[in-house]
Amino acid sequence: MAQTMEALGNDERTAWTRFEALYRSSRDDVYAYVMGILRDAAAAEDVTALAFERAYRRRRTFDRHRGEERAWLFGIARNAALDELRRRQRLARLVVEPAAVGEEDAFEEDDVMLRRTAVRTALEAMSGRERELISLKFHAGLSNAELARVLGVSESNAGTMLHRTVQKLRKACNATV
Amino acid sequence: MRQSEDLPLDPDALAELEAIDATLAGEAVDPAFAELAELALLLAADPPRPSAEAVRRLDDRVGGLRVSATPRRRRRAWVLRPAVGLVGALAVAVLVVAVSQSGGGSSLSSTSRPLAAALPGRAATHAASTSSASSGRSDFGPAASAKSAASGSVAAAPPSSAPSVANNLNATPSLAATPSPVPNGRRTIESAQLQLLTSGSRINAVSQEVFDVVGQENGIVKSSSITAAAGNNGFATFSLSIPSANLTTTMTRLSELRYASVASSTNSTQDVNDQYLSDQRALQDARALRTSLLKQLADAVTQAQITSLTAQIHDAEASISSDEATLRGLQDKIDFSPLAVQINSGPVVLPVTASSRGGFTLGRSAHDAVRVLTVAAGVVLIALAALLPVALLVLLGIWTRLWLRRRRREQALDAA
Repeated sequence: MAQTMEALGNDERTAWTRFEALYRSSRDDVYAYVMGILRDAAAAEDVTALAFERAYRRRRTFDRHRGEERAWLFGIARNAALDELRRRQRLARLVVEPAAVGEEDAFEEDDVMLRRTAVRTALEAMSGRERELISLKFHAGLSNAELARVLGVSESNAGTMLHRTVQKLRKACNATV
Repeated sequence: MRQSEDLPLDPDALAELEAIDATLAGEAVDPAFAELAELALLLAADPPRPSAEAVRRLDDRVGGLRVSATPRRRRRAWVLRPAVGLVGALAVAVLVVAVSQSGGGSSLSSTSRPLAAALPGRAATHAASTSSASSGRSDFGPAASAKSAASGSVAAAPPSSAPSVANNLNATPSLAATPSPVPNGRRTIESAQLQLLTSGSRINAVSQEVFDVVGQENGIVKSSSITAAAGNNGFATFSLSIPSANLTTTMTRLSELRYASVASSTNSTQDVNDQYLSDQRALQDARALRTSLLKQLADAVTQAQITSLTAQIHDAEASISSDEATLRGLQDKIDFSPLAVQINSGPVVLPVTASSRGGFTLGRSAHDAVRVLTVAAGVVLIALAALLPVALLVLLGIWTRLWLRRRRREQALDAA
């Protein structure tokens, strides 16, 4: 009995170590992705924590044969973010937070700052689904296969959607600049 | 944006996507994709990041998960307990049904208590009434009742003056050793009553077996009534006429039907030898009288003599016809024996045979084990048949709920 409890304790410690590593490597990316969908810092923080809580509770359901841990984690985060989005849409229209301007912006060259502003403006004008694609690809750094798994579509479909979104973003940026 | 385009990417789009991946991986790209690479770098370099305070709160919240991990494991064990209890209850139910269906196994088949005591309700009542058949009471059909009454009236008389026998075989599952008078050339009328017991679902099958046996023994079904009902409410009655020479064989075969056991049986015999001889003598006398009258008629000379003799001859012929009918009826009763069979539904008591007597044997144990397994498999099959539609409905409900939730999430994203 004591050995069984000890084995359980070892398993628990191993699981926690793995989960902690996943948290450290993905925390900022999950936050960025959720923020891209919700556009609310407080809600993004809450949903990010909720996503990790769910991931830890469901860690036994993770199947490595079906994809990488990051794709599985972003799937959980997506559901949590969309649930929050639904809840907030029922309550009131979201008030889009003004884009935060970092301190480093002051030291950037005018040309880079101009382009960054143009990209932000173009992003704000895009739909939620398009912002989600941009967040998953450029903020979370998912591959196209992982992107497809999170969105529940085929890889070629995910590639097509991403390409169209990037094309649309390029046109919007060029029009702004 | 729709997600229905599941076509292969065109080469240009593929090249652009590869250029994006290469840029994000820090690799050099073709100058033709410089603008795209710059956009990718701008996007990747400007992700929303949590503030230091938000990071601290996130770390605290996620770090708290480790503390609550152990109690959650214990709760899971509690969740499993109802399932274990359900499986246990199912196993007990299977065992109870199996034991009740097998009639208590071989221990009951070798019981020595009176059969009437082992029969519930109506069957027990019948067994009790047939046990007092010597007083002439029986619950069998009207015809059988009449026969029993006739036999009973004779049985009530002293044995020396009325040589009749009523054998009550109550609590005798097999008729192999049915007592019967030693054949001595005397003419007798035999009758029998047989009460069988079968399970409620086999009333029709056992009735068909009765018909088959009667047909094979050249008997006649004078009347029959078969009532198949749910539970132990089914019953069947037969009024049969069997060649007396085949009565013992018929009774033996009916007592060995596949799905029935004998609750009781009654054999009655009535010696009619004196009556038969008396009727025969009366017939011979009437014939002799007619012969004498015919001779006198031949010698008659006056019209008055002729008229008187003719009238006497007519009376003699009427008497001959009556005696012949009486004798023929008696002969029919001697040649064909009435047999009343009643089948009741109830717990079947297996007949005790020479091979089934005794204690534990491997063969009997194996038989019991196979029976228990068969019944258990049947119970499981019925349970599955009942649960399958429920499970399908539950699965459909779960699938619908998941589908609706996914759809609402996508709609929320589209509306954002």
